[in-house]
Amino acid sequence: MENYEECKSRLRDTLQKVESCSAEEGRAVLDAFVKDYETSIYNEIGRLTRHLHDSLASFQADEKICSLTKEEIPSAKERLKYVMDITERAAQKVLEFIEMSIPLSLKIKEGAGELSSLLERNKEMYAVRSVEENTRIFLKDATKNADILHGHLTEILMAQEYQDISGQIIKKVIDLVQEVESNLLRIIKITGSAEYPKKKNNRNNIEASGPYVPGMGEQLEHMEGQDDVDQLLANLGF
Amino acid sequence: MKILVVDDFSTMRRIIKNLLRDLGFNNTAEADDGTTALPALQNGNFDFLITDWNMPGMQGIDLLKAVRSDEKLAKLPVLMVTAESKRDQIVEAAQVGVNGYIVKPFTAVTLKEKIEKIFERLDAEQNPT
Repeated sequence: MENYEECKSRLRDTLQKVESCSAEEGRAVLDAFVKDYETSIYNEIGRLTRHLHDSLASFQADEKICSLTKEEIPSAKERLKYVMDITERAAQKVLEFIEMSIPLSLKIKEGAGELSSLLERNKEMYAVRSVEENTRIFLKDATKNADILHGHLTEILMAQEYQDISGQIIKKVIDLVQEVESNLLRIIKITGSAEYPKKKNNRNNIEASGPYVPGMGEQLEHMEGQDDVDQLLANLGF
Repeated sequence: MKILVVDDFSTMRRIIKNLLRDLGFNNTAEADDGTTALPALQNGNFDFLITDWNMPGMQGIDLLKAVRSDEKLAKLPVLMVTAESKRDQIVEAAQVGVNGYIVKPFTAVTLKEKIEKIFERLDAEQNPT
């Protein structure tokens, strides 16, 4: 019974036969029809099973999928771990040099302040020894500190080089994810289970989910920034 | 003024500590999640708590709830600094008694404003005119 129309016409024939014969004969005709129908269902199940088996066998043999699961995905994890490491290292380095620079900039400011008040106090005796000595010390320190600051700023500049490497690594991993996605889609198509499970919407609304990424299609309402948050809190009576 | 900074990323703790130092708060301590923060708060005479939300172990929102239900800590001002920005989360934090909520990425000016606002409000509550 390959198709619906054929099935319908056979059912009509069967009914006609049943109408025009004795009860006993009619029962035999109906039995034959049902048996025929069952056979075709079993044949269809058999065909699907064989198809599934062949598909799975071909997947096992698919070298690309083997290398995806055995090599590329583990190496993607390593790559992403490496990105985390280098970005953290860069951030720590930048912070380290900033922490070393802040006291230097304060020192320059303090020295300049002290010197100006000294000049203020000694307006009349402009050339007194103490002012001259202090000026010399300040200028020497300021020059030295400015040099050190310059060095720190260069270190901070260089620490940004991770961006180039991390960008390239992340791009590779995105390509890999796309490949895995297309392979998974192929499996879904072959097995014919095209029905997507309904989206679960019962996830706890206040569960921590990490930074909001624009375009991620989150269902829940997100605040766009601090102004939105402030507005919301104000509405709540904050 | 003794401040506890809770975040699972050491970089973020360091950034907040530096910003606090610029604002004149030199007495700060760090914890990497709620489970280490809570005992520190119970034993440490802290005047202010700054916490992230998403952390392994005990999350920031649970730390906030634990603080509010601890007799000794109940009145401790708590500022949340987090990337969690869902409406329901902010409402929840407000309902369980957060004093301020900053979403990452944030600026030094925002941190300054929110801390000042919290103290202004606390002053007003303690010394009503």
